[in-house]
Amino acid sequence: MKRITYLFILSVLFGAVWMACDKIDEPLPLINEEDIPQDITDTLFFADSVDVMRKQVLLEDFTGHKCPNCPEWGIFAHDMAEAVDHKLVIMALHGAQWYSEPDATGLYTADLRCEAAIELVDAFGILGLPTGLIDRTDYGTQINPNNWESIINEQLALDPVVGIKLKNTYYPNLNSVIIDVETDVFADLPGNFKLCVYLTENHFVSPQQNNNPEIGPSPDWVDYENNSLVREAINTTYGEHITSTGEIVNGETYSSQFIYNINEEWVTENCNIVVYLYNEETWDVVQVAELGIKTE
Amino acid sequence: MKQKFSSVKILLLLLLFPTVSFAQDFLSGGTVTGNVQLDAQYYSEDSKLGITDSTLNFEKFGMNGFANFIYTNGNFTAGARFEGYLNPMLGFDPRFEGVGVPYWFAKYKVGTLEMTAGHFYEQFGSGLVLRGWEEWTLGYDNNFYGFNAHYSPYKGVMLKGLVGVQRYFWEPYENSNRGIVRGIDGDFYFNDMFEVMSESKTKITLGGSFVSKYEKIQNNPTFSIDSSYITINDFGDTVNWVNQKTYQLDLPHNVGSWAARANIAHGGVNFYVEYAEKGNDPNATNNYIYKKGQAVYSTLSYSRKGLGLFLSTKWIDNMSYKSRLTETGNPPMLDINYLPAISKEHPYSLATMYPYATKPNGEFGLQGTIVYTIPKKTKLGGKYGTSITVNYSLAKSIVKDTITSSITGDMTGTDGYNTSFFSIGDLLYYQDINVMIERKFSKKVKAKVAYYNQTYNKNVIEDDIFNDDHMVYANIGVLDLTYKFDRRNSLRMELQGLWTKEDKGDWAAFLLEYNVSPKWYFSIQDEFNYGNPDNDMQIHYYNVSFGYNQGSNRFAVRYGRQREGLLCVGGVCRYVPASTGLTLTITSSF
Repeated sequence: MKRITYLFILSVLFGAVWMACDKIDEPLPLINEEDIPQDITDTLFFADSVDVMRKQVLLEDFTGHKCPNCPEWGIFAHDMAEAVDHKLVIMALHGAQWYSEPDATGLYTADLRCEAAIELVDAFGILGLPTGLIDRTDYGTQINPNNWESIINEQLALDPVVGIKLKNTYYPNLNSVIIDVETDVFADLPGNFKLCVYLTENHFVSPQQNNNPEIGPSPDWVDYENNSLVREAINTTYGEHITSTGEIVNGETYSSQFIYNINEEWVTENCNIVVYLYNEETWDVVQVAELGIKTE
Repeated sequence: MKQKFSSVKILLLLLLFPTVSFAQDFLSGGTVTGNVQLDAQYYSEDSKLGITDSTLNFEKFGMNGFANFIYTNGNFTAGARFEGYLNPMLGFDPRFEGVGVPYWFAKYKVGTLEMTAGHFYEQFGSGLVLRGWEEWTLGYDNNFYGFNAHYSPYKGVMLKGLVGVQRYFWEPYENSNRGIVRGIDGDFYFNDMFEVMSESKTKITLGGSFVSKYEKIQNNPTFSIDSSYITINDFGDTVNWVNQKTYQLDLPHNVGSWAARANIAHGGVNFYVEYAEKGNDPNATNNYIYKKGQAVYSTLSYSRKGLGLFLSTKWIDNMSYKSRLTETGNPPMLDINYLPAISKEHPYSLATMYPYATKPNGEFGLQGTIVYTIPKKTKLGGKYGTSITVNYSLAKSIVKDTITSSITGDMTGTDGYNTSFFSIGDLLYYQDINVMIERKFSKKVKAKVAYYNQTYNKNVIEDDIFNDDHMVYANIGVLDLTYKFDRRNSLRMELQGLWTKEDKGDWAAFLLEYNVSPKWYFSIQDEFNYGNPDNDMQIHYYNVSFGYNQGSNRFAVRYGRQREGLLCVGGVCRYVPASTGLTLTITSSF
């Protein structure tokens, strides 16, 4: 019995010491894996997004640098956009003949027109300025600036039927932007719809005729600051269907992506992406969203 | 310093505690013994050796000293060792600087149980898995600090167990700054255990040990592997990428080892063998490989009147075992185990110029010694007999087929290499063939003649560079004559020569020593490196010394030059730099 006790004690000691040995089966486990760009600027980007779930209104402000009544209404629209917490999105379109065409010499040699603006002027029969389209209501009926405020408020009072989530991912090294758009449909919307993506630029200084000395130098406002200046239609003037037929279904979400290389003559920090969805037959704009490209 | 002061307090408690807590009887039977050694050196500049105040770091004086005090009273023993390094002498690690009590203990024995608390030295078997020891001349001390028990539960059975941490200069154990060592050991003397064997002429002893080290592992090293690839981004541009995978060494907190041994003796024959294994122990000395360690050590001896034979062999692989895995080998500290050296230690200075240092992570060794005494009053043996000692020792590499990790780029993180048990590699580390003849010609004249043929792989032994690019082949001859004028006065003369075409070339040495027994000795000595290929280094390393004994006190004074080289004891070595100066040594015991 005594020997058994000793053997037991010895076995316990043996076990206690010998088991205190860590057998390592995998000496070098993988603890981290990552992909790193060799040139960080190749992949450096700034991303921002906006999720528009409320009804926003698009004002297409047809204007021109040789339109002396235009600055007053341009400023009015800008102030109103701020007053309604930017639920009003403005696109200033320089496309009307004579008002927008650059002179060969003198103050008004700048060409602020773009192909899309000229096409829209033709499409909507724009002749006299200033004038505008608000959500392209009534089949794209031109609206006198005196009525802009009331119509805008009417449109803002509508329930949203579409939500737009807009995300801009800007790559400074490439001066390019990836535009991701998600369109959420909240209602039954008959017809075919197209999504338009535009680039606008703010704070572009260029001479502007002005007949209202209360708002600025008159008759020539040499350092006039153009805002919401339409620079280019990214996916053509009239946009693209977001489905194969253009029909959209209540409750569905549609994703679109656009990649765009920004003209180096434009100041990217001042540029915005404007996205809107409209009915191809009625021209009605059902939702619009706006987001800066380089917002940091 | 904190630990030093606390150790002093403990020492005082040990010495004073009995006087206040125990009866007068406790002290009345007690004895106190002790010994002291003081080595002091005054260094001087020596342009020949390139020694200036600046190279000496303006430390003109070095002193190493210790004092042991042991109190014994019946079954109780307590002791302490006081040490001081002010400053450490040249060749000793500067981290020794300081004074304190690095070693103290209290021990008692009740029945067959002996318990020790404090610092202690211990050895399991031949030390392949555990040995704590101290060698003053090397500055080597790996004592354990903790608890140690010896217990004999049965006649012929001796069990040992310990838990402790090891000495590391003056650094106290705190915050897991080194590992904790746990071990048990058993010896079984069959002739005592079994009645039927008690009268047998064949004596058999079996033993076994288990040792484990626990160490808190922090900051495991990481390794990264990069691979390149190219993608085309959404803009159609090429983007160059690096895929980086990071791996981390998984280091074991507990490293175990075990050993089994047997000793069989019959008549004049004694055979000892021990085999040891160590679990995966990646550490700084083995380049963090995970291979298990193995070692086998064996000796065979035979003796009868006039003849002695001794053979030993060892094979060790990846057996460096330290209680801190980041500790490297120089100076050797925190060694848990000891790998016996099987080269002979020589008494003559030139024969010790090329000593052997054990290579714990791969070595095959072999040694054979024959001692034969030609009987006296024979033609060959002469009137007093003639003793002949022939010794051969060999150390070689073991076969290693290296494994390379694709992650670390070397053997780190792998098993390191493949080898076969008891494989012997081609690379020679060390070889020593020597013969010594000792003869007394008359009552007044005694002579020793010795010849050594040594092959020394300088790269391997001194720098751990495993190639044969720097081999030293040396022949050494020694003549040692002693003439006794009378019962008290004697004169001893040594003539030595070392011849080699490598390293520092040829040497000659001369020693004249006059003894007035038992009190005085006087000597002059010179080692002349006349064959140094650098003419400026053809230097005389002269020394004059004398010593005086007064009872158990001994005073020795030496002035001269010390040549640089390795000082080895039991395969553990310390580099000794060249120096010039006055050395005083005082030893005393009571």
